[in-house]
Amino acid sequence: MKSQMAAFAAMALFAAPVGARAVKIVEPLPAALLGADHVVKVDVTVGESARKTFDALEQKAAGKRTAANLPAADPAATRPVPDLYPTLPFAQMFPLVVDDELTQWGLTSGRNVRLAVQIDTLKTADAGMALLFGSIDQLAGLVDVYDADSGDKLGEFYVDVLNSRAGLLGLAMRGAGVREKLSAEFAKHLGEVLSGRKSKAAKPAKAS
Amino acid sequence: MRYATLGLALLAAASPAYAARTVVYPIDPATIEKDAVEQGLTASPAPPRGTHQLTLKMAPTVDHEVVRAGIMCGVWTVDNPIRALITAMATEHDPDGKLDPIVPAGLTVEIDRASTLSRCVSNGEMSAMCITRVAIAGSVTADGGTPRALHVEVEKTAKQVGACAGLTRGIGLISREAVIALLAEVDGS
Repeated sequence: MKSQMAAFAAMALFAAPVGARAVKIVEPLPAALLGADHVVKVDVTVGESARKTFDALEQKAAGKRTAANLPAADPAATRPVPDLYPTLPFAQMFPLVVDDELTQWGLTSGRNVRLAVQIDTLKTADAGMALLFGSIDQLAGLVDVYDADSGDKLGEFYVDVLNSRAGLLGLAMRGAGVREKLSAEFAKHLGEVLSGRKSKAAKPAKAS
Repeated sequence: MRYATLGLALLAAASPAYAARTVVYPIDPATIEKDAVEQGLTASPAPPRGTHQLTLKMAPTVDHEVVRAGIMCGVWTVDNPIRALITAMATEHDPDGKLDPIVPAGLTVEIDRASTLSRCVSNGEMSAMCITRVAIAGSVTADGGTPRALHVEVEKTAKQVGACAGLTRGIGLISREAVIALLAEVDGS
């Protein structure tokens, strides 16, 4: 145990600095694709490293669904309104949040693409730790972009959404719906990469 | 005095020079086995000698910096000079153990790009694991014919042993697996 503590402390010395980039490009998307793509499918998987928090949040969502007297979530049913997203399983909620966000970015036409998202980190702030030292909400994972028709891979990037929570104010500002907020922020970064812009309102970047 | 020493050590640890690392490729079978056990990986056997004479062309940009993500070892800059590994393993795979500059009746392998993403995540037990993906892309041309696209992607999860020190060995092993997959794809020509 002592050696484990020492090893962990040593690893912490090399931990990522605060303010690390939220998006890291591994394989850049073709310039011609930026702003001219339409995500027609989002496949999301959750890795073992995120499984514990993921399962707890899935149970919470199912509980909300039961409390609201809603039938079991059905992916084939009519698209639910955003107010019901907190009652959906992650694999159903996340693509809806992404679709809502990318529509706002104007990514509704052009080459049809499919996103394969592998979530490897999902953490929610610990209330006790947040009061004492601060704690974090985090959603991170790898995004592979494929041509939806040919299946060709077009690009690859990593998204890391990290929200720090400190003290009572931090927890109060965080509010409810952490899973949906993290997903929306993740989707915002998808919008940035797929559009090649920094904001929804910004003009498209000129391809070099 | 002890605090001053500790402070200096921390400063040194955070400096770019200290944080720069290069992927370590295991060469001999004993090291491959030792590193694989340490990293909790299964190492594939080296491919047998091929039947096609190989010519290898690689852009300098094939050597690349590992994209690092995740909470652990984030200050580390890790270079993956994978051209050396590809050259060494292709040479071993070549029927006569020599890569020829011009081969009229063999395979010409052109590697355009390679990338490595390594994301280290906590596994909740005061330790971390690193998921590394190595991708290599290019083309292979048989007997001056039409080039065929080559693309391999190998993703594996390694243990994070000895703080960050195991990272370069883990990436080295997974890079080796990617080159083995690449040579298998070349053999399919």
